[in-house]
Amino acid sequence: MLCGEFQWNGGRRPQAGVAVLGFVMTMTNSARTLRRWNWVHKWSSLVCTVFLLIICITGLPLIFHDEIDGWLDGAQTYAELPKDAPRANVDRLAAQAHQHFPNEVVRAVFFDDDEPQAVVTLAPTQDADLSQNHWMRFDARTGELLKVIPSLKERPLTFLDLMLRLHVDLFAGLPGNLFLATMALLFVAAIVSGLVLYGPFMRKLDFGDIRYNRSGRVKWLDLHNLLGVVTVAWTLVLGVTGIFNELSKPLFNLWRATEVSTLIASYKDKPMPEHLSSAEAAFEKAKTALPDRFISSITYPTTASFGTPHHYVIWTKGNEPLTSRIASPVLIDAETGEVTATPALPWYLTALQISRPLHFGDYGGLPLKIIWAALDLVTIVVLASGLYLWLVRGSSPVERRAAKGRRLSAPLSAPAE
Amino acid sequence: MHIWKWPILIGVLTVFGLLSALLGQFGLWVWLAWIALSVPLFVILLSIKGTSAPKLTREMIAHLEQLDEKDWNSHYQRIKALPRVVASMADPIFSRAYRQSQFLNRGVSEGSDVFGRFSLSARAVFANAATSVNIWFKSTTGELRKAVLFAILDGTLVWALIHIAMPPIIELVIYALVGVGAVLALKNAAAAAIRDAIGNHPDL
Repeated sequence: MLCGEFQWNGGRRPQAGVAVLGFVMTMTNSARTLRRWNWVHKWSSLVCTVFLLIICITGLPLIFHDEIDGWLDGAQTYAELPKDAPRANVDRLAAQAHQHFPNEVVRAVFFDDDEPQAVVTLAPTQDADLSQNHWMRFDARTGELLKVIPSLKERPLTFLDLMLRLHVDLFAGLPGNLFLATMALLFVAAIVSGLVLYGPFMRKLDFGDIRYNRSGRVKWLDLHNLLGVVTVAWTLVLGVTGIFNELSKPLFNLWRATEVSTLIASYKDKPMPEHLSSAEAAFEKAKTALPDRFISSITYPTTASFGTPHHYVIWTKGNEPLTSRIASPVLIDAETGEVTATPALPWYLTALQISRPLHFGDYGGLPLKIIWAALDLVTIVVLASGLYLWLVRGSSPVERRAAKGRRLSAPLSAPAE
Repeated sequence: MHIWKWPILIGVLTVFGLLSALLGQFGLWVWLAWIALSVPLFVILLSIKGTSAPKLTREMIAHLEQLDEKDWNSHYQRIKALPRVVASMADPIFSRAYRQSQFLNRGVSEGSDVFGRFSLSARAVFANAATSVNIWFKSTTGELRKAVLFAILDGTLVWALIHIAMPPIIELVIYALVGVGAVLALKNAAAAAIRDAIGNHPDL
């Protein structure tokens, strides 16, 4: 056994913090463990780097998607009304939208809490693919139609659409989501293993030192270590929240197949309602059921995965900084207009919703977005430099250290003659 | 433990920044988030030394070494007269700390030429934030840290004014300019000049 391996602190009982630190330092001191961590870092990084580069590059414009959209659309003008002006009737908005697309059905109405706008979504059938959705933007107070947005099938892919699809699923749907979630998991493994390896290789250097007078490989190794360790907390958060976001479809489907199914079990054999009750009345019922929450959308009855066949699913969100990120639904019977349930979301969906702003960086104004973009650029440099270091590798420092460790340990482990 | 001191501090600041904007979302908390999450970026900028950084020649170093107190004071007056970039450094607290550290004097004087290239906004933000953070890292005296704190607060005021007064697209352009300016200025002035002016650069 190597000197010091698993014998930190001389066998005395240490305090918890010291114990953990000592254990970590000892673990990273052992040549064998160092080789293992190096193996984990090398292969987890190599496998995910190309995909992470795609994610980082496509994520860059997505950080500013609001600004880019606003710039491309031009400034949106709304009627000048008092702040407490009443909102338009939901049924009227739906009827106006239906007039525009008489052969389509209304799928959902969304309300914005930042701007006085309501967006109505329509599709040829209630269970049509999302790519067939038409979007109509209204002034949420006057009901004036502001813009009609064609479906994805009717318009060419925009730059932001392309970035989004590459970022989210590589145009592969759910398999793409799962694949990128796996890549994000490997990214997290690469970060953790990189952090473990950071200690042993920085012992002789001050923090932030870059050896410019050495070879290009050493210079880039120092830069890779510096950029990686300085941004480690941010990249770790982005990696973990990225996994959650990629799993959002399966997680929502799980919730729908378990808790929601139980709640609506009594509707199982009923056909979909032919005549729907008023969506406006459903809106008011939800408002009464959860008076302190903002209603962000109403989903009409559907057999698609984002709703139920017999209910208006009304999504609400809180008014506090944190609760405004956590949506919770109210199920209203679409035939009788009565509240069926106000289910609490399971922990995994709450975690998913909290992880969204932490991944998107859209919760602290433009300066936060700029910082997000800068950190994203730094991550790109870390990924690219890691790839470069692998391409120009010789005998790696880890292997040299491990070999040195083996040489040093040999006399200690040899039996006395 | 010394290896982990700065990474742990930066990691804690990053987590604080991420959570403060999420939980606070308004006013001071968002400002704190911006500052805390900018720290990793500043640390990176301060650690990067460009190959094109201006270097003091042996002759210049020798000349600087020979300057006496009177010369330093006149040097200080010249720097004080420069627009904006050293305005925040002209307050009494800073001037005391300023005299305490010769290498700082030299570094600022070298760096000021580079600062002069940038727009008023970029210089204002840079002078108050980037330079201050750099000085913070290099400083050893408590008084200098006080001065840095003032400078950072002054810097946030400039950001606030830009945010309030400018339309978003102009604001975005300014932030981009500031970013580029800060990188160039840090590369070419603050880091190299201050380090080189200490006189113990390995190449000297």
